[in-house]
Amino acid sequence: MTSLPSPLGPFGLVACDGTDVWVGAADSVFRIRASDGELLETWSIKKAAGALLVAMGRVFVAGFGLAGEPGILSMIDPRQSPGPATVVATNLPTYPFVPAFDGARIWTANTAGSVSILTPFAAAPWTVATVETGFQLPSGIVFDGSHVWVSDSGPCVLLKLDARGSVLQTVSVGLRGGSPLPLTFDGSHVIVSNALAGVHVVRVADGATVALLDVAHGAPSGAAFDGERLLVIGQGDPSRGLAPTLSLLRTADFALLGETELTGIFPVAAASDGLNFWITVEARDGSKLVRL
Amino acid sequence: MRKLLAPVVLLCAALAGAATRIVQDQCGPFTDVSPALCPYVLEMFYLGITAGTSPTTYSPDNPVTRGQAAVFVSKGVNQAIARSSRRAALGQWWTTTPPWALGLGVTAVGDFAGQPAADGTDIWVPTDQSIDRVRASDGKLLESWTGANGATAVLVAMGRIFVTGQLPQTLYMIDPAAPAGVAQAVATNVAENGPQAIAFDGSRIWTANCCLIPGPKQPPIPGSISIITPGTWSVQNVTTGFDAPIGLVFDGTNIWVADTPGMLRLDAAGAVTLTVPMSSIGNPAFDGANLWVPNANGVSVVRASTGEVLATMSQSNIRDQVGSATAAFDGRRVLIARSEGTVELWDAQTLSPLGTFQSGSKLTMGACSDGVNFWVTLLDLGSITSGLGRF
Repeated sequence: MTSLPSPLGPFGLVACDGTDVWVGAADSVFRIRASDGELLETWSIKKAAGALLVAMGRVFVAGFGLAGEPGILSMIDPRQSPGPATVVATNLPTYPFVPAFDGARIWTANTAGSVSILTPFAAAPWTVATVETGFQLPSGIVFDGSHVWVSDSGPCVLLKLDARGSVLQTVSVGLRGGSPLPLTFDGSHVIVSNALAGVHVVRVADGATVALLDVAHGAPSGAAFDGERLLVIGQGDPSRGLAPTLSLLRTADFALLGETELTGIFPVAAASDGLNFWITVEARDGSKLVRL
Repeated sequence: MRKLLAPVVLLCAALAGAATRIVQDQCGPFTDVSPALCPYVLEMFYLGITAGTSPTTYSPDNPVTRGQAAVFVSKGVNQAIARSSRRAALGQWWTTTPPWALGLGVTAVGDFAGQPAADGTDIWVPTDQSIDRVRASDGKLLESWTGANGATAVLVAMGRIFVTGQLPQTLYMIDPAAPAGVAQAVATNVAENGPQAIAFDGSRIWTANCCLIPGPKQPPIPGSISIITPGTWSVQNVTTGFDAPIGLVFDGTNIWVADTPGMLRLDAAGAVTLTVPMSSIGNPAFDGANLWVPNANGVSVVRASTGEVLATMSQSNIRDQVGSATAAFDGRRVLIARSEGTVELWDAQTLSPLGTFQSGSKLTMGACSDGVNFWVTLLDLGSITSGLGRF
């Protein structure tokens, strides 16, 4: 367990580069060595981290400010000494969340009602193309090797996109919208964590929902894939006496391997480096990164 | 509870029931599969592990032969391997090169970067004046070792880094635990010709020596292979049967050499025991069962145990010159880096193409994998004279 120097903020995002673990907070991004959990570096960011992405040898941070302010995309070169992250795009829509990388471009799901596609350039600012048609409240995004998938919390659907951001297919992942829908990809399925309707498992080959997983007291808030297993985070609901949970499933058949309730810590987000799961948590004595 | 972003929060009842509820009520193209079996049948079908007995039937009650079972299990294992890779866990599902020309995903290294090698944590790159060590996680150039002039290839073995030096014909050794400095020359009488490739069979180091022209208007020195014994560092040079060997690979049993006639399988003394004819061969890779050999017709897949050519494939009309293409294996995919800058990806299990991409560099010299990413040496890439690109 690694104590973090500052609060995580509302999203406490975590991403792995294969050697280190990166954690996004309100005004900083932390670099932690995976082998021993030592906090190595702290980078500063101009706006609160709404998303983290490791790609092209860099760490990208989508940042958002106050309501109505444009979002930004910052880039960290981990080879350099820690300092301020470099802003590479300043005209993202409000609330850009969860970037994905398709091998050439970075995609963001923007909760204000759009998807942005950023093309890297030799110097900032990078080109940003924003698509609004077909989106209400995007909240999750993944790349399956061929297509980008976006979850939309408004109509509670999962959308398959083409290279220009147009909707190719719509899959229902719940009865009513309103809850963020984080996405995870396991190589064959897009896994949708719906706090109002459980975990939906959608096969990317045809968009069929192949399973509904009733874990995390039916209120999952995120998941991570380690190559063989799926870790589902449940943030619980104190109003209903439901404790936060961690659920572990085998992705070969989605069999439940184990589930535990958490006491004293509140899970925020999860990732895997292929060897371990990592979760960010809020505890009584501050924000932490935990290795499972 | 995480703060909801929608202006109005709509609640609905959570689903009740068992931990996993299967909702598949159609069975894809099949009309003869029960709802209970349907999810498993469709999973196998869409993953390509099995096919139907006809376009609309699966015949779920038919018996399965031992041969069919072997196919199903093998394909299933392959899927498991693919999904259990570290690259899958890191969410790196893309299969195109990043914008190397913009400097993203590229590390500048010494001039004329050659054939790199990965030690599991770092990438070692031989260059004209140095051996550069690059951290795999972020591409940071960590250190440079000197002394191995004209370095061509690197071998990671026995906790050390071995480097072939073309001038003079020397084998160098680096202790990566020591501070960066001068590489130690451990064998100085490697064949007169320039060592081009290096491999390890578990006890001895092999080099393929080729193509050094001793002077103006003089013919090139005949090719050879050298077998070097660590410890004593004695060198055995073998010339019989070799013309211009430029690649080496160990398949767990035998050393194979890429030479003018084709792929040559050697015995423990360096004698040729089998020739698989091919022309314009490049540096091969071994995927655990097969050799992937770039050549004039594309890439040939050779069963290492028998020498049988399983397939010769091409993703384009690329025709390359001898010794100017390199293969690398990451545990699931094979990358072919061709000298004119084209990069090809192949699925090692199914032998199917995954795409071709332009590196953007004028010359691609070598490639390796650390099990998560491929690493390609690139020359003349925009502002980068010589670089190592992550893929």
